[in-house]
Amino acid sequence: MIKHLELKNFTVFRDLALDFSPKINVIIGENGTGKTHILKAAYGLCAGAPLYKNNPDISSDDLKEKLTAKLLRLFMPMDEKIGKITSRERGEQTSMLATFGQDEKIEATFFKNSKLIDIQDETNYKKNLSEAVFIPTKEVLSFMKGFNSLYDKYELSFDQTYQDICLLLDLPEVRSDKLHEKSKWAMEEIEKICGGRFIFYGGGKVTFKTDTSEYSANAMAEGFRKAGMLSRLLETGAIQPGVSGSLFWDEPESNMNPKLMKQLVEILLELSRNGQQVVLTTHDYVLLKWFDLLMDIDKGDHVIFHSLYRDEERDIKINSVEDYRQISENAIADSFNDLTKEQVSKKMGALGK
Amino acid sequence: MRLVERDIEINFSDATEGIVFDQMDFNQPHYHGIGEMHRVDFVVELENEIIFVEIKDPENPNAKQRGLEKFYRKLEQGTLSDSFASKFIDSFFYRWAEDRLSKTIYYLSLVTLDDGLLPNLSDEITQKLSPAGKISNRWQRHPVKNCQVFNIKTWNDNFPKWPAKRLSECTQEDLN
Repeated sequence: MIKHLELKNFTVFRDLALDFSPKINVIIGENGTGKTHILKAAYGLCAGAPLYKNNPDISSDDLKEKLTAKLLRLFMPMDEKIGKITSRERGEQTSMLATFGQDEKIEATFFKNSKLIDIQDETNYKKNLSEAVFIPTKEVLSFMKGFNSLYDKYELSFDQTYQDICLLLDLPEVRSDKLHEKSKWAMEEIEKICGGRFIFYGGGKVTFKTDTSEYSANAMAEGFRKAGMLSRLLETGAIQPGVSGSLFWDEPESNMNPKLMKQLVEILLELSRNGQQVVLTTHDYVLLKWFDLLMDIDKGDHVIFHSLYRDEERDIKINSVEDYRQISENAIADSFNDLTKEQVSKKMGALGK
Repeated sequence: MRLVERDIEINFSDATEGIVFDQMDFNQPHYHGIGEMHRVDFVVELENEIIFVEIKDPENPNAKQRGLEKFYRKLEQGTLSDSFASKFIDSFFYRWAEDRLSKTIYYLSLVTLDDGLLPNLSDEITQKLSPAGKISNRWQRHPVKNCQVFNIKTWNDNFPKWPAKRLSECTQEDLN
């Protein structure tokens, strides 16, 4: 679980700090305010967990190299240079700092001309072994077959979140008796939504099976394929409430029918009640509002809405609140207000002004 | 012209006339008197326009639980727009009978809901008012030129000449 993130002179951020809820975090903001960058930065700094799991004795130099490589493949900067993800206008040091659930810490720094990151602080970092999951904007079930080997061999224009998710989806499923009760419940709910379930045969081959037939996964609606990804991540234990690390999800709403949002939010809230931290970005009022309506303090729910915006000097700032109505810079609500204004202007002219 | 509906006051500063249309107290001016008809809260006359105004205030700190439940039940069932449409239609009919419908008519509602719910509710009510999005070549006039729902913030953003305020949040100075 990630508790705190600080980004200085990093991509669009001059100096940004945010504290995460251990349960649900919803990041909103206009295009270009860095929502996905926050998700990727946090996910990149979580990369120690799989590294230390595979090799507990990894040296500091190796850690620098591996984290640099991870950031390069997540952000895909020009010329594959880490220095290109510093804030473009300033020559100061870039710093990325994250604190995790038991106060484990990692701080990486670099300059515009750096080839490798420097590690300033790695207090107890190797103790943070909960692996995070990143679900990218596009669904992957339709192109998973052969994707991993292609990704290793060729320079594809997909960042590494796509390869990571394909690898997690291709893991074998956990024995049913080992699955968390709520994971099983969520998988059943997703099966009801889709009217069947996705079957993973390994090597990226995926089909969709109902009681009577089996289809190509590509025959299914994209929204269902996206829900199928969540179900599979639960089935493989990549997402395991109370055990796995943070779930980062970039725009869950893309390609999903708004009618699916209520069930999706119910599932995410239920997983969070059982120890799963969720950090997602959205442009969607429906998703945002379902969190507002379905969260139940009596059930221990906790949602933080993080709103990114530009101040007068065009710097990106963040406003984090626990009550949806308190969001001071709400790009989603603003777009509805623009509709209201346009209708007034078109139909009422100068009346009342 | 200040008009008050429970906890909300709107000051139509350029109005030539404004009445509490929903007046069911015999001793008050503009007594409506026909309880069977649905009624908007205010009718406001400008020089060349008439505005029908309906206010629904689920955010009123003194709102009664029963009323709130009824409001949210209608919202959930999608019938809230029916009652807004009925109020307009019956009020229109009443004003026709009074021979007071010679100007362009607007139907503006102030409902204390989230910004995101307003455009959809506006469209739903509009759809339920004749001619329901259709065109009749025989019609010479539009019964309503704009039907739209606002909350206090969007109302004030769009109509600075008609400021709306919540009375329970006003200081004595604001009220003077």
